[in-house]
Amino acid sequence: MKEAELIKACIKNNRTAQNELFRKYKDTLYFTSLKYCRNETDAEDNLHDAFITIFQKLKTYKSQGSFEGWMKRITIFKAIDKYKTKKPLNIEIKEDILEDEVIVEKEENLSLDQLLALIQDLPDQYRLVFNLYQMDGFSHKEIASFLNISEGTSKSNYHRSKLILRDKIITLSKEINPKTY
Amino acid sequence: MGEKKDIGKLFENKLNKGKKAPKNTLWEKINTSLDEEKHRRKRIFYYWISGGVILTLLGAFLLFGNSDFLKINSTVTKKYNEILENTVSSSEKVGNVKSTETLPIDSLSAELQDEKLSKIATVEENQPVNSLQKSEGKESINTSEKKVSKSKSLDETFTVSEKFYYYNSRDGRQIVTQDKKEIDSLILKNKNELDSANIKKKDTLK
Repeated sequence: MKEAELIKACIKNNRTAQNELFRKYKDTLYFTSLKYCRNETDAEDNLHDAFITIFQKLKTYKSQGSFEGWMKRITIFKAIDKYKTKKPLNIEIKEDILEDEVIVEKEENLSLDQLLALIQDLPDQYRLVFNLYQMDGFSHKEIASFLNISEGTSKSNYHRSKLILRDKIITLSKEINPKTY
Repeated sequence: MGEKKDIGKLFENKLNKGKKAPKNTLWEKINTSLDEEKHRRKRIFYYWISGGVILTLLGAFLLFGNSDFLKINSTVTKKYNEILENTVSSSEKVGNVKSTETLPIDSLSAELQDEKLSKIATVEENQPVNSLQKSEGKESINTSEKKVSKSKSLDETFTVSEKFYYYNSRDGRQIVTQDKKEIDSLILKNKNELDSANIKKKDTLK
């Protein structure tokens, strides 16, 4: 079934079509959920909620832009809603420090799961800011409006998340290959 | 030493196009939730419908129920006034012989309350059947007979009732009755009393 036909059938609450749509996009959207959530359980819950919203709001999709992008956005915003209410981390640091790159010199061949686990270990707001800015290309201004924080807070959260990730990668690399350190 | 890399770029490159399958039970959960959502929407729809129906009925009752009530009220008042007018005019006609003055108020209101009389539209004739006046005894009797013509679209179940009024100016006695004989006997009795009194007077004069 073509995508347009599939969408039409899903709007008519055709359960077979809805199942087909789920099977088609579940892996991509689940991975997005994993990046934004603390763990697999949260990620599954988020994906569940995201698909319910997708089926409910399918009528509002205007075929402008990619359909996958539209669904991904819903998944991301479900995660934001989930963690936004938690106490925000409004720690700001000097602007000049924020411009510095956080470099990792020895990058061992870390697996996808290991990298995911590193991101999931970040504090909620850091994780959201890092993913929104680094993975999905939103500006700090947009992120600030999504999370009800200032632009400066968004920038500092991003910088701090990178510092945390770097430290963790170094620790992990030491564990994998202690001789090189 | 390895190549220096920005940590952000490193994650972006490795994680941006990743895929991972969720648990197989997830679809079952979604399926159940979709069913529940469907039922919830149906319930909400029925709530709205029933709410709308209740509001419509309430509105209809307020609009038409009240006006009907007013209509009934005005009709009742109208009929009551008609009856009142008819009764007063009929008693005026009868009362050429002081009838309206002498009619007791209680008897008038009793007449108004009479359901059968409420159906009267017009009174065709009002005739004094028996009017007797005595100069000496100052007795007056007013009787009226009301005849209603059926031709004037009146209820066929209508029945004519006769009432006889008795008033004695000497002792102020008033009687309203449907039995004419009762009044006749009273008149006769009074007449006899008067006669016997006259005979006694004549005897004493002699």
